[in-house]
Amino acid sequence: MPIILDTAVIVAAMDKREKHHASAAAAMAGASPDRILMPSTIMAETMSFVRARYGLQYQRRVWDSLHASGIDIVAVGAELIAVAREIDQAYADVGFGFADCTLLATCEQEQVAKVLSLDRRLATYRPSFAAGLQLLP
Amino acid sequence: MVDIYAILAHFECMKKTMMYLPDEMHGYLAREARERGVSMAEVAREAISQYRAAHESTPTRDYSALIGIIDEPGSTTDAASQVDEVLDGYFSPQGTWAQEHDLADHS
Repeated sequence: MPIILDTAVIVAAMDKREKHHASAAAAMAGASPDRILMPSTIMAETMSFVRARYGLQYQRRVWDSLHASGIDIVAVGAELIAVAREIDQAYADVGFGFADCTLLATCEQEQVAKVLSLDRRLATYRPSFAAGLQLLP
Repeated sequence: MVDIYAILAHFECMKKTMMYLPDEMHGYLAREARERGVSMAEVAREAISQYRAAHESTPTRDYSALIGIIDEPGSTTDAASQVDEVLDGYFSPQGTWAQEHDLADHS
């Protein structure tokens, strides 16, 4: 069963100093051999975060490791962006923001209800294909 | 012409099988075989080989390669839960990005 990856969990898994490092690392390690899917917008957010917080050298290291890890990057094209906007409109009061809305649109496209995220607001989303999202760790 | 597959079948290196195909698929297979001058079985074998190659080339998954790769010294932090805040600071008018690109607001 595939699982969708959000920025906070991969960051927490990568940085040993992070408060949620142990649980995030365990959740990612436990996902194997299932597919971990990462929307391209979340990858961009992650790479920008790594650049902002750790610098260009770490961005390059993460870049290589992401490529080698086998995480499946899901391309976010015009159709997914349109679905994401519909989600944003339906949940305007929550204010997920662009990246999270594309993540939720990816859940819809891939019919995946398991999400690796530290953002508990995502639990308010009601997918069309399942009773709710299962957030890990 | 020597039919190598008939010879292989004789020596039990191949198995004979039978399957039902929809009319359209059967028609395509027959046309493809006729145009290329090969047997329908040969086209089917090629297609199965290509399907198998595509499905066996699943990339290796080793998510542990990412775990702990950022090994900066320092105390416990919770920046992962503040992604938006970190990016806001980085891309702010006075932030690192603006300074790196000589776009900082000096007013």
